[in-house]
Amino acid sequence: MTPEFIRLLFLERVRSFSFGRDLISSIMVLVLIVFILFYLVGIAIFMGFVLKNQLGVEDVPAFLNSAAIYYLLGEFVVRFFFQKTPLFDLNRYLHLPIKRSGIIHFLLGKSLISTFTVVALILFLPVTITEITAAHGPLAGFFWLATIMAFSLSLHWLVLWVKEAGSRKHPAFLALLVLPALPFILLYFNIFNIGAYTAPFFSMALSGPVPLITGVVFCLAGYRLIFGHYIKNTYLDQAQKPASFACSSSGSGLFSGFGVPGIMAETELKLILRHKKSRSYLFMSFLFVFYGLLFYELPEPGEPFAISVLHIFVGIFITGLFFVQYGQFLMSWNSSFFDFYLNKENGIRDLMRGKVLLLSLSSIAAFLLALPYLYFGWQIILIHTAALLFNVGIGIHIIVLMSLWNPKPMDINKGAMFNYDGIGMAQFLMAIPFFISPYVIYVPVLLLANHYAALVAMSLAGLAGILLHNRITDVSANIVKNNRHKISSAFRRGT
Amino acid sequence: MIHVENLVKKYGSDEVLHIDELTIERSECFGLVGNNGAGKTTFFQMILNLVRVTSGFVNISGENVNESEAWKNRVGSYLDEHMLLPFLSPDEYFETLRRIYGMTEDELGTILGRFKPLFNDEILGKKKYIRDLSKGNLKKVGIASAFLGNPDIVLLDEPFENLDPTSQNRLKKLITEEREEKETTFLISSHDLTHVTDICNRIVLLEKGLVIKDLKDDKDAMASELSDYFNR
Repeated sequence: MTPEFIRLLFLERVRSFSFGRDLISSIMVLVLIVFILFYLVGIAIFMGFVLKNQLGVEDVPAFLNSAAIYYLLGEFVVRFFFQKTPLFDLNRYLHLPIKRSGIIHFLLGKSLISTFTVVALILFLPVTITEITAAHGPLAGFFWLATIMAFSLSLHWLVLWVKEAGSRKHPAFLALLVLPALPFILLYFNIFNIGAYTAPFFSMALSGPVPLITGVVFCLAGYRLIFGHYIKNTYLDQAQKPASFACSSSGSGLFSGFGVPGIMAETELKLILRHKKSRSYLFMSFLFVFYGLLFYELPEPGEPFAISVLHIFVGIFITGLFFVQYGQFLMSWNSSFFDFYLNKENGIRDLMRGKVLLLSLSSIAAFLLALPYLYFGWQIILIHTAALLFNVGIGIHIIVLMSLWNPKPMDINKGAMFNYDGIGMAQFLMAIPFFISPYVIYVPVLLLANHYAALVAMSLAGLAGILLHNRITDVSANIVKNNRHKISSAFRRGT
Repeated sequence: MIHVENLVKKYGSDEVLHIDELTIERSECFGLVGNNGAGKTTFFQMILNLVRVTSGFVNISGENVNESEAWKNRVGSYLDEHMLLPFLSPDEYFETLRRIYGMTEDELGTILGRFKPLFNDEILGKKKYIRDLSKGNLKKVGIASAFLGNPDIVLLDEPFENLDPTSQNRLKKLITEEREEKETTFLISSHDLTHVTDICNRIVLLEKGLVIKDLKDDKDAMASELSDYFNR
């Protein structure tokens, strides 16, 4: 069955309505992957040299043994954010004489085609050859590297399981993510080094196969775990849970006074809150308000906060992440009931205005949540204000216009099974023009004057956009209107 | 052929289906009728093990559908368009199924040959993907796919819906012939009482998940009982 599945997946991809758009984003992702691999190879080649000569490590194998656990913990976290869970349209195959287990094995096998599968090998192969093999012989080198790889693969299954099973049962499960950070923190403050306790285990790999066997057992157990979860859940009734009307269905006062676009924005908000995918985007955008903590630093006492060019990106990111996530699929969210808007007078225009209104509010909400950054310096609020104005005035329209290129139908009601779409790399890459746009104004003014003037220029550009809000929105509404037959026929036919 | 015992499906605390016992014999044409929400589609989905049973079981030729999958080779079904691969043309879809069922090209040709009148030259040899077909033609592709693999049992959910009157009659003829020649068992749900009473020798009426009538053989009695029920 495997060749058949591969053929079908290929045809599905090639015949998709948004093939062009998908292709470009896949190419961009591919370029990024090549870049990352290139980088990894560089790190790998110089790892032995840097450890010995720069960091003064005398016994490299011993150091690697105690560092191994930290590598694996880090890999877990990175995998959690970027490893994709396999997607598959099960109901097309369940009634056919294909074994359920066969489908699951195929899916799990397919999930292994991922950069993560080779990261451990690339990263540790050179140092294994130059250090471990040199000191302990080729067999030790083989056992050691294979052990790390076996555990890395175990993480592959574990991450799938945590994402698919754990997070579904209980959102609090995600708090587990904090656990891997704990050893790093303890190490940083010199309280406790877990590596000292795990090092003997990894050093056993230098003299025998026991750790490798343990790793393989872990890997098989992990596979068994995720396989068991999938096989139990290959049913169509997963999604049919009684609706929980968590949000009030009476209109919140927020949108009154905006007319029909306000009503559209309100229904749109319900759509967002009542679907898992959009809800997770909303959640993510608010989580990423903390993103600033990575970039903003407390100034020295008595010194003012120093604005850097990078901070503009942070401000745009914080106040505009929801644009990137939700706005990119702008029309797709409504694909299965697009005709509803088409047969209303000014339906498309009001829908677009409603969406722009909602996106603006998301930006304002993120801005308000980010107000505590005042602690680092009032300049940050200045940056955020400029970013907010620019996003609401101009950024929104960039995202909206980009999203209108071959909008893709999307089935938001589909069962959650195999439909976990986290933050994809492709999505971020497609947002590059959005992130670059403020710099088009910022950098020239910065070169002519200073940071503050550049922020003012950005704000003014944003304000101009806000004044022309409806006019610009109507331009995109007209694009949709002019392509309505093409768009609606693509939407009507489903994914 | 198909045996169902204590079959219950609950969503939360709502019981959507509850059948104490039901046996469908070989070469029976089993019609399933009932108003919206009566549980017809759920019943079919449970027979096909597409949704989980809350309790009870479904046996096909003594095989619990939840415990093995061998029965899938003998059961053809078409419930809705989600069972199709929308990005293939009908020819490609049938070819894919041919390989899955392990049929020869001749066998596929024979089966599709019987669908020639129903297809009315609008399905095969056309450069059109399934997603671009009209609702009626989509249905025809689905119904034909349920007959591939020479099944002993065929389940069809609302097969007459969306078909033009000519196609409806051709489909009825096809089903009747299939039963006579191969003793195929049919399970058909429909809102069209005339069509089900015409082709079926047994009709079960569902109401809110319960079997409230089980009518057999006498077509006139069937028709009058059903018309009494639906004219309340």
